[in-house]
Parts: sequence; C-alpha cells; structure tokens
Amino acid sequence: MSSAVITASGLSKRYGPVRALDGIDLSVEPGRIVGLIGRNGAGKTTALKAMLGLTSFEGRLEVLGVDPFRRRHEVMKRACFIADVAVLPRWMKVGQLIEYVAASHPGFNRDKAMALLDTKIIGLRSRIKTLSKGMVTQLHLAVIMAIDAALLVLDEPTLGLDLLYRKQFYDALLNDYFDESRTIVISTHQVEEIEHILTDVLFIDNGRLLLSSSVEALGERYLEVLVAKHREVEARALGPVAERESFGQKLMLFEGRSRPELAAFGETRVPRIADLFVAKVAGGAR
Amino acid sequence: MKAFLAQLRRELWEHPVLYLSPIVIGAIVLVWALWLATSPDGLELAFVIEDDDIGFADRTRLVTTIVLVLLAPLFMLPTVAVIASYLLNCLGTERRDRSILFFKSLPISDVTTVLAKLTTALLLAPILALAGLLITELGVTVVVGASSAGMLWDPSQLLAAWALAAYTVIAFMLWHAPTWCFLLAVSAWARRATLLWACSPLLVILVERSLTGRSSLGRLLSAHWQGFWSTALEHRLSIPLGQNPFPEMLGEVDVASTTNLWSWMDPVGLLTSPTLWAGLAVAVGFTAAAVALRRYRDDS
Repeated sequence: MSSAVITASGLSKRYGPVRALDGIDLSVEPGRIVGLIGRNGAGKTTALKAMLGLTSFEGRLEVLGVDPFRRRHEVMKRACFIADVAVLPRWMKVGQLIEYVAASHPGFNRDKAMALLDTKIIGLRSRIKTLSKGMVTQLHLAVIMAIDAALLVLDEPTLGLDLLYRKQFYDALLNDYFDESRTIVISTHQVEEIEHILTDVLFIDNGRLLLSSSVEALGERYLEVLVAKHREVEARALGPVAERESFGQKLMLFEGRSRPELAAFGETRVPRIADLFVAKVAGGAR
Repeated sequence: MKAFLAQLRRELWEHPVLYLSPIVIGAIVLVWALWLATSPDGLELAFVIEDDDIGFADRTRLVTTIVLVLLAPLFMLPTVAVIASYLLNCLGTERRDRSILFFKSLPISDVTTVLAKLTTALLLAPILALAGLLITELGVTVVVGASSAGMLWDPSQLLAAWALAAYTVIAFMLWHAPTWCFLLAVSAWARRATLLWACSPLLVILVERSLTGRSSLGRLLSAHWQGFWSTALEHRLSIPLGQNPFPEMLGEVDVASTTNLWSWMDPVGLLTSPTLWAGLAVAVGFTAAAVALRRYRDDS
C-alpha cells in the first residue's frame, strides 16, 4: 500500500467546454512542503478543491487513502485548509469560532489555539467582520495550527496581506507547525514568496502538470548559465530550455546537462524556482 | 452528537432572531397584559360576569380559554414567518459570503449540516416559541388574574392550552413539511432572487390558469393548506366578528365542549391521514435535493 498522502492519476475536471484539469498524475509523500505553482486560472484552485472533496472530478484521486469527493468529511478529520483570508464567517465572534471548531473537529486543541492567538490584539468577543485582514489570517492560522492534521492545504493564503503579515504567516507555519509527520500543499502564483520553504514543486498550466519534482532534484536537473558573449552560439547548440537577457548578457537554462559541461560557457548556478517556472510556462506556451 | 449539537448552536448564533422573536413578543404581550391589569379602562371582563345565561365558573373558564388560545397565534404567526425566512436563506448566505469553504473544511458531512438546519427550523425554533408562549401565558394569567379576582388563574386550563399549542405547532410543522423543505431546497438552489424562486409554484399556477383556465397545482396546494385544520384539529371555537363578540357567542356555545381543549386535538386523524405521509415523502425528496445541491454545487 502506498504511503503517499495524495495520489492522482488522470485527474481531470471540466467546466463546460473549459478543461480546468487535464489528466494530472502526481504523488505527494508525507513530510513535504509542496508548492502548487501556476498562473491565475491555471487550475491550481480546481486541483486543491478536488483534493479537498469540494468538487467532483474524473480520473482517480486519493487523499489520505480515501476518495475525497465521496468521503469529504473523513478526509477533513485528518486534513485542514485555508482557502483564503476571506472565508471565515464574518458574523461569528472569535470565541464562538473557537467553540465551534472545538465541538466540530475531534483533532482540535483549544488550549493550543488560545496559546497561538494573541488575545490582547484579537479579543474573543470581537466579531470577525470587525477584524483586519491580517488579524483574520492570524486567527485562521491559529485555529488551523491547533488541529492535529496530517495534511494542510493552503490556497493563496496570504492574498491581499502586507509583507509583514505574509512573513509572519510563513514563519509561524514553518516554525510552529511543520514537522516530518505533516504535509503542506500551498498554491500560489507568487513563487518568490514561498520558494525558500518548499521541498517540492508542482508546476501547473492550462490544467496540465508541467513539472513535478523535489527542490533538491531541480538543482541536479536544471542549471542556469550566464553565457559569455562569444560563446552564445555554441551554448545555444546544446538546446537550452529557455533564454533571457540579464544586464546585457544571455542567461540560458539547461535541463539534464552536467555542471562541468556548462561551466565552459560561463558562470553556472541553480535557477530560482520563479525563473524555472517562467521558462517552463513560456516553453509550454510555445 | 456533539458535532450535531454544535451545528444547532451555530444556527442560533447566526440567526439570533430565532430566540429573540419569542422574547420580544412575550415582552410586548406581558406589557400589554400589565396595562390591561392596571388601567381602569383596560380590562372589561365585567360583561361576562353580568351575563346570567351561563354560570360564573363556566364564564370564567370560557374567558380563560379564549385568552389562552388566542395568545398562541400571537407567537406562532411571527415564528412561522421567521422560520420561512430562515429556511429560505440558511444555505444561501454561506455560499454568498464564501464561508461555506470554512464550514466544509471541517469534518461535518453535508447531510449533518442540512439536517441541523432543518432541525433548527422544524424543532428548535418551535420549541423556543412554545417556551416563550408558556412563560407568557403564565405571566398573563398571573398579572391579569391578580387584578381580577383570579379570573384567569386556572392551572389545568393553562396546561391544556399549552398542550394544544404544542400539538398544533408539531402538527402544523409536520403537515407543512413539504413547504419547509421546498424552501430549504430553494435556499440550496438559488444563486440570487431567492424569493422569486420560492414563489415559483405561484408562477406555475398563474401560467396554468392563463393557459387552461384552471390550475391543478393550485387546487392541490389549496386543498393541502386547508386540509390541515380539518385533519389535525376539531373545530370547537368560532369567534364572530364584531366589536364585542363575547356576549353573543356565550349564549350559543357548548361551554363544556369548547373549554375542553384536549378534545380540540385529533392526533389520530392527523397520523392516519395519507396526505400527511405523502407530504412527508415529498419533504424527504426536497431535503435530499438540498443535501445533493450543497454537496455537488461547485460555485464557491
């Protein structure tokens, strides 16, 4: 039996004539932080909704060993998610939210939530609609982090937040929540923001999976070379995945070439995930 | 069970009108009763005492019955309006403000959620209204009774009036379950113009009438609505319209029969009515539709 937290094969979803997901195969192992990266409308949210049992799909998908659409409430006993900062019920008071989740989720630890929540800033009697976006995010994160879950799914969780809150959000996630027994899947189109915390990446575009890899393997598989002007033609002959200009010099991205082989053309480095994403998406669009 | 109770509590948090309306109505009625009891022009029960046709005890019992019975609709009519409004919106607001994504992030099934909403409407709200009615009836009989020589203080009649109200509410909720569950399904279905969708049967009736001159749906619904009173209740009291109906009425009614509120109820007639069971089957269908819509609809 597979130990994977999420497995999908041929995962597809149509909205009328639009193919939101188009035959995706993937496997996510425990203890990983996976970035689901794609443009707006690439299919990220649809993929996450399918994983969380919020939408029907074609193909096969198992989350924590069960079909999430057929048995959503079973999945949600061991998984939790933050869709975005706007979904907490605005009419609820903070104290009511804590009480409600405590009564509704067997894995919720009220004491932990209270410890995580700065009640001096966010009062238990405050209505959620009176809180700022940043406070709502802090509240939602405190509630989620107090749930003993094997899988946490975050869909653009810091959308609309300022830099300070975004940093606090990911710091808290990494320092106070993540351990090797948990898996986190984060969807975003702002790759730079999360690339330092990821262990794996999934690139998605037009409903198709362009890349599925660990961040470690990316460094072995892809290299970027700042090609010296007089070596451009030779370097291009090796078939770079993508080319771009940087301060008047060509940066070429290669797949499956060794560092010594490429070092002859100029300075080599592991590409940033954002650059790799742009290269793959542009390549996919060609 | 703990999770189900949490859903009921959530409904009361989200819709405080469910418990506030009986409190407000009760307060208004009690203030009114207090005014009647203290104002020299307010309470005019003397006409009963002056009537020689009926004995004092019967007259007292009759007036007590009328007051207690008439208090029930004061509570129940607004409660019915509150319940209808609640059902029409309970599955729509969570979609509109996207909080459905939060609620679905918890291990609560769609069946549990929908049944909790139905339980809130058909059980919790009526229980709260009945509790309000009971307390108010007690208050009214004490307040008015204290000011008119024990006129309304009749514990056995109070108990009977409350039992009649409880029975009528339960019967009403069961009989009209198709309507309630239709509103619930509309709430799960309609993206906007919920009220218009709720009125869609009326539109069907209008179209039917304009095309064929009569409407089978209209006749069906009309017969169902009127059927409740003849099936669930025995008619004991009819109040003629007029400024002061009591004297004319007293001479005509069978006091013993009218004041025996237990005899108003006809639970056997209700439970053996095929219409009731057919309606409940339709209600189950609408509820299943609401569950399926909440589960399969993907517009979050």
